[in-house]
Amino acid sequence: MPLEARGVWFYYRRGSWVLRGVTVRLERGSKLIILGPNGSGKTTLLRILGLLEKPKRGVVVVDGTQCTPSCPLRVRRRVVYVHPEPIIVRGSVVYNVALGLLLRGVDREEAFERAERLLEELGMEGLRGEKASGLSMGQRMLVHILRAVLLEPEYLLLDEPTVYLDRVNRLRLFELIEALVEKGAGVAVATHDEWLVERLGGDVYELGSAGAHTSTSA
Amino acid sequence: MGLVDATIRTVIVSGAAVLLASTWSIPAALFIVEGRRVLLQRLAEAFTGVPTVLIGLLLYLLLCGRCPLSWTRLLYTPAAISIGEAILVTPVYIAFLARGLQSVYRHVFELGVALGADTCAARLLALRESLPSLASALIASWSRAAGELGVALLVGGNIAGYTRTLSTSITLFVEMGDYARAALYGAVLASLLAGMGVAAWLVEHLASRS
Repeated sequence: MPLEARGVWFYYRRGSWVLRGVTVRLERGSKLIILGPNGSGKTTLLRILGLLEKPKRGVVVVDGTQCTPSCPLRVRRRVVYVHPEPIIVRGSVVYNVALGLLLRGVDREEAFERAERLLEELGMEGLRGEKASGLSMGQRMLVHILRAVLLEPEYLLLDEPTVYLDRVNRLRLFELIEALVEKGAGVAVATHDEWLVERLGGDVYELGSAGAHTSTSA
Repeated sequence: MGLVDATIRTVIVSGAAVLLASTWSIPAALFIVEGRRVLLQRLAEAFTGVPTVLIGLLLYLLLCGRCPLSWTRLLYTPAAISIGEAILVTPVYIAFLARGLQSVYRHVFELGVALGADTCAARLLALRESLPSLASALIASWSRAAGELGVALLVGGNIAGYTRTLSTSITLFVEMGDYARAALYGAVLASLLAGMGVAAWLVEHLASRS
């Protein structure tokens, strides 16, 4: 069962359509690259798929259930959208990584243990006690992505995830995506990063200017 | 004695007013920010300068002898001053808070929602991250309440040892021609306001270090 946007139309300002009848499908255990120039609606499409915006026309379907931002938590939690700018909250790195689990009501000890394990797997255990606000932009971005990865969502939507990442961290991100897909998650990535597009493979969905899709290829 | 008494009363009555105003001003600011209700924000900003004597008069007309709320017997009590000041500071509170919450609150709230938090948990997280904005709104509101005169005079009655505050004391001394004492009370009030400013800065400073 996939995550789908069916005939989605969207505007922020009446009369100025950002998306026009976009239909896109993300299967579990697969990758989807969303390409397009600035202003083509990549972020908007991911936000709609991530149930943060309600389309003006068309629907979003999660595993056969039609969904909006107000649909039940158990459905919303299947999809996690990662913002293009790292959003860091007050506290340590490990707290920031564990934040999603804590917000979902997971026991603090268990959430921290899982966050520490993930940091260790990535060789970042040295940062766990550091204040997250003191990290570089690249490190912040990685922490921002890790907190979504730790939730092991069924669908992960990454919006320009490599903008602040150096080569080493881009490789880490690539490995994380591959591992998630292997576990059965569907991962959509909106990006301009040719290196990542080449490495990831997967389906490509291209948005033209003004949000009209120009091509869909596998 | 009078100075200490009036100072303590000013702090408590204004503090109670701000606490009372928080119960509706924080939800109102969240309603504005989450729904991007700019018109409501502008209205709150427009009402920040509402004359204190107007609020005092309206409240007096509700609480006086044959008025609709006379049965509450609140007229000429510290509670009446707190209620009036709570109404008075509401636009200031909402305008400051809504302005401060525009950036951090929105981002963090949406982060919480994107991570699968329920609305309440996302709000709490976002408010925690917006502590400096909340501190600013609190301090501005408290300052407006502590320095106002119209409400305290009209519904407090300036009763010595019961409803007399620093601002009503200043008016009284000016009317009596005792300018030295009026200036002394004024200096204490100004010091209080400055002290609250420093306290808010400290909160902000400590929060940014964590």
